[in-house]
Amino acid sequence: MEKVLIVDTDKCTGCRVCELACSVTKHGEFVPSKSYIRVMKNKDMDVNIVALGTKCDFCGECVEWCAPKALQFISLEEATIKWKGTKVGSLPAPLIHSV
Amino acid sequence: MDKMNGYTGNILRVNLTTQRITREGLNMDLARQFIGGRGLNLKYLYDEIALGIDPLGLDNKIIVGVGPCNGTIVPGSQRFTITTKSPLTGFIGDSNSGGEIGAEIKCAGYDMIIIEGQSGTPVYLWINDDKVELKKADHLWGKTTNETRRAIEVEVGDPDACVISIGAGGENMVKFANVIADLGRGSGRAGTGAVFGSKKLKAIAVRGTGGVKVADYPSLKDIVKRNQDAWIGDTRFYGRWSRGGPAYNWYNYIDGEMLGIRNYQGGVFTKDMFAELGKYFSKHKSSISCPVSCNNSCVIRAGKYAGRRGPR
Repeated sequence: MEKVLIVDTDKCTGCRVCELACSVTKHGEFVPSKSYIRVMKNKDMDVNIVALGTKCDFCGECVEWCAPKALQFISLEEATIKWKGTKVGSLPAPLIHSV
Repeated sequence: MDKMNGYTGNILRVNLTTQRITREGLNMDLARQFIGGRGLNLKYLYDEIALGIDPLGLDNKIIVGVGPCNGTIVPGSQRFTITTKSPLTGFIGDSNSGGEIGAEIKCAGYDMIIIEGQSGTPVYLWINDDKVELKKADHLWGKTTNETRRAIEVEVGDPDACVISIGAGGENMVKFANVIADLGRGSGRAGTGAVFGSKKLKAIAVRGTGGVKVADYPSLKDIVKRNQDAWIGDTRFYGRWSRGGPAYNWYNYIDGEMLGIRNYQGGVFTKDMFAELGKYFSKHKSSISCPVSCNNSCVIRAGKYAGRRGPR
């Protein structure tokens, strides 16, 4: 089943625990720059937007660690129905190139 | 002694007088005896500065250090320590702060940055992994810390760069001046900002793309998870700190009528006045690796100062 990562940007505090958890699981060390999930920030506006690397295999480690519960995995079908055309604060994470 | 996980084993030494930048190995025996961050910083400072020096003079040093847990998933491990001889007390000056720069220093491959000498003109230090340079900061002198951060991010072309900087207080060597980290965090004790100002060091900007290894991640995960669950499960602690940050402890001061306005010239804060602060709240923010979002940002929405923002 294909999955989508749903991010609630209002809840995300920008702590980057997801990056740390992902990198240690996939690379064996805490190396945020190689994480498959990235928190992109606008420090002036306090905006945190999470983006997902193309190498992500949806292991769920980031979701498990997320303290403010800003992340969740749902099926692609469910996401398609729910988020097509909506303009609310939580959104399926965009994809970025994985290092 | 061999290298330990958690430490990178490198010290970056920057002499502002000669503009010379060198790397040296961390003394691992000392690292075992005096755990990194505060302990190790103090040991190095004690060994390196002479008796009776002027805190704002040529001989004082600034040591920015991180501990073995910085850059890992350990909650609350993001803090970095600035150690120097304090111009305020003339004794040990030791101030720590949260933010992301602690982890970034570690990822750049350093446990400690030692700054010595004095620069003739304003400079800032740019650390991009192995590439370290002192850059001119004449155009940044006089700017606020937030303006400095923005300008440096643009100048080095990296929005992920973390910046600590001083504002007008540090530049003019006010003896209790802070060093402000990029998320609106401050190293507020001991007048570290004044020592930055005396050295004409406007800012330190760091970007690291390396990693931090631990010996046994499954065990670490187990301990961290248990701690994190206990923190989050404790509604009194987590609920209050996540909403108000350390300000929630101020209720105790309010009860005792100890929280003065303008050095007690304007009376004391009351509970009602404190509750009013809620209307300025804009967003929960955390330092890296910390589940407790104690660094909330606030925005003034109306009146003379509308549009201004800052930490709570």
